[in-house]
Amino acid sequence: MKRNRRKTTLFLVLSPVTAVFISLFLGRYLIAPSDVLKVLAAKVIPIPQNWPETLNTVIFSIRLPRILTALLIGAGLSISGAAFQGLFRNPLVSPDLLGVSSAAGFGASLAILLSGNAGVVQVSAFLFGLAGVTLAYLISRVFRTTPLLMLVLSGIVVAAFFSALISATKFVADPIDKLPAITFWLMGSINSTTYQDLAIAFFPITIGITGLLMVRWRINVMSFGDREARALGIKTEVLKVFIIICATLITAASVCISGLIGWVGLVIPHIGRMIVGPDHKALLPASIALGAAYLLIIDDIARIVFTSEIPLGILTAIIGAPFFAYLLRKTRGGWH
Amino acid sequence: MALNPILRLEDGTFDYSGKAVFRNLNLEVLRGEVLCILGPNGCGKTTLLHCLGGFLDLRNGCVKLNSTIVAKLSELELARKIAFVFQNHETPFPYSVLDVALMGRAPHIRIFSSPSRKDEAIAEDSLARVGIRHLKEKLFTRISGGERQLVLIARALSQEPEILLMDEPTSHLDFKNQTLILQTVNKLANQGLAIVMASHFPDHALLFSHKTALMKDGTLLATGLPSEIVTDENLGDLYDMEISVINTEDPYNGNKLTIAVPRLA
Repeated sequence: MKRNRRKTTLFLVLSPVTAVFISLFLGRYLIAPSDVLKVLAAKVIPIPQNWPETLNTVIFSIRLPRILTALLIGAGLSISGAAFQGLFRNPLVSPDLLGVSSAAGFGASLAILLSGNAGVVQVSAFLFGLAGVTLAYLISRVFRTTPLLMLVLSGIVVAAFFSALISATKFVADPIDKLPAITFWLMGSINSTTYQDLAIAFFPITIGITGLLMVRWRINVMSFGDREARALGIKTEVLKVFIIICATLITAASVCISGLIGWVGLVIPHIGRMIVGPDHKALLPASIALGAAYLLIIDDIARIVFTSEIPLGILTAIIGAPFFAYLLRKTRGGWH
Repeated sequence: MALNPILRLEDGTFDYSGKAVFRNLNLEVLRGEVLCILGPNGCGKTTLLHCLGGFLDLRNGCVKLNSTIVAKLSELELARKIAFVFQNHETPFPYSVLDVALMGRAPHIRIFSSPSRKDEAIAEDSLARVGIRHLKEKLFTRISGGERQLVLIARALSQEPEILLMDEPTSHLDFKNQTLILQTVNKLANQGLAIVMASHFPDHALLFSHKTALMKDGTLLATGLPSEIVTDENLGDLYDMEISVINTEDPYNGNKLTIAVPRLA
C-alpha cells in the first residue's frame, strides 16, 4: 500500500518532467537528446559552445516558452476542473461552468474587432472572463447564499448570452481580416506564445493554483453539500467564493493567452481519480501533474504530427471527447 | 450530581415566512441523556432539531448551550460542541470510510491545513467507538445503509462534540440495523454525550430513550420519562389512531419491556 503510493507519486512527478524533455528535442527541427542536455546545461555551467546558434534559438525562444505555457495551462485547467467537480458535487463539471470561457471569448472578439492589438485582446479577454463569472454569481445569489443549482443555471445563462455576443461580433466583423482572426483566436492555440504572454498568465494562474491547493482538503467536506459542510464548521459561502475566484483567475488567464481549450479540465480529474482516488487532498496535486503532462503531449502532437499545425483547442476536443467516452463506458458511469 | 442541562430550548418559536412551525416550546437535555422527540411526519421535529443545532434562527426565545446563547456562536464554535447526523445523504465521490470519518475533524483543523496523524488517530478511534474500525479502508459508497449511518455517527464523534443531534437516524434501515444504531446511540450516551434524536417510532422512545417529548402540529403534548408519558392516550392523540402500550417481560432474560402496538380493527 505504502510502496504503491510511492510508485504513484514517482509516476506523477516523472510524467511532466519526461514530457518536457521529449518536447524539447521533438519537432520539425529534430535535436538529439544529448544536444538538448548540453544546451540546457550550458545555462548553468560554462561549457564551450560547439553547436549552432540555431539550437539555442529553437530551444529557448521557440520551444521552451511554448512548453512552459502548455504546462501552466494544463496544470491550471485541470486543478480548476478537479476543484469545481468537488465543489459542485458533480464529476461532469468543467472549469468554464460559470461562463468564464464564453465571456472571455467575447472580450477577445470585441477587442480584435475594435483594436487588434494583442495586449488589448489579452487584457479584455481576462477582464470579461472575470466579469462573466461575477455576473453568474450575482444572478444566483439569494438571501446571502448561492444554491448550487442556481449557480449552475446562472452559468448556463451567462455562457449562452456571451456566446450570442461572440456570434454578433463575428457577424459584424470584416470577413477578410477580422473574422478569421476572431475565429482562429477562439479555436485555441499556443503556437506563437512568447515569454511575455507567459509572464501575463503566470501570476493569476499560480495564485489560483496555490489558493486551491491550500483549501484542497476542505473540498472533500464541501462535496457533502452546503448543509453538512456548515454543520462541520465551514463558512460555506466564503469557501465557495474563494474556490470560484481561484478557479476563475486560472481559467480566465489561460483563455487570455491561449484561447478556448476545452476538455482538459473535464477529463484530467477523472484520470486523477483513477490513479489516486477521490480524496481532493491527493487529487488536486495529481491533477496538476497529469494536466501539465497531458496538455504538453497534445500540443506536441499538434505541432509535430500534421504538416500544417492544428489548433490545440481542436485537438484537445478530438482526443478528449472519445477518451471521455471510453472512460464513461469503462466505469459505466460509476466513476469507479 | 449536578443536573444542569447542557442544551436548553427556552420558549422557542419558529416560523417560515409567517407560517408557524412551532410555538413556545421548552426542552432540555442533560449530559448522558437520550432525548427522543416523537411525532408524526410533518410535526416540526426536523425544524426543531435544526434550531437546536443553530442552523436556523428562532423567531422568539433562545437555545442555550450550557449558558451561552447558540445564535451568537459561529459555525466553527458550534461544530466543536454540537454534531449533527442528517437524514439524507448523497455523496458523489467514493471516499474511503476513514476519509469520511476524518471530515469530522474540520472544525479543529485550521483553514489552510489538512488533517494530521493525530486527526487520523481520532477519526480511527471514532470508528472504533461505533464498532466499525475494520471498515476503514472500504468505500463509503459500497457499504450497507446501516454501516453508512455508523460512519456518519463516527464522523460526528470525530468533532469531539458534547451534543449529538440526529434526525431519524434509523430511517431506511432494516430491523437489525435499526437496533444496532439505537444501541450505539445508547452506548454513546452512557459515555457522557447528550443526544437528541427525532423519530416516529414509539418503540424507539420506549426502548432507547431516557426522556421523551411528544410533538404534534408544532406543540409538545407532553415531555418526560417515557414510562410516564408514552401512554395509550398520549400516543392515540399524537398519531390520531388507537394504540396499546403493553408492559411485558422478555421471556428469555426477564427484562421488563414496554412496547406500543396499533389496535387493529
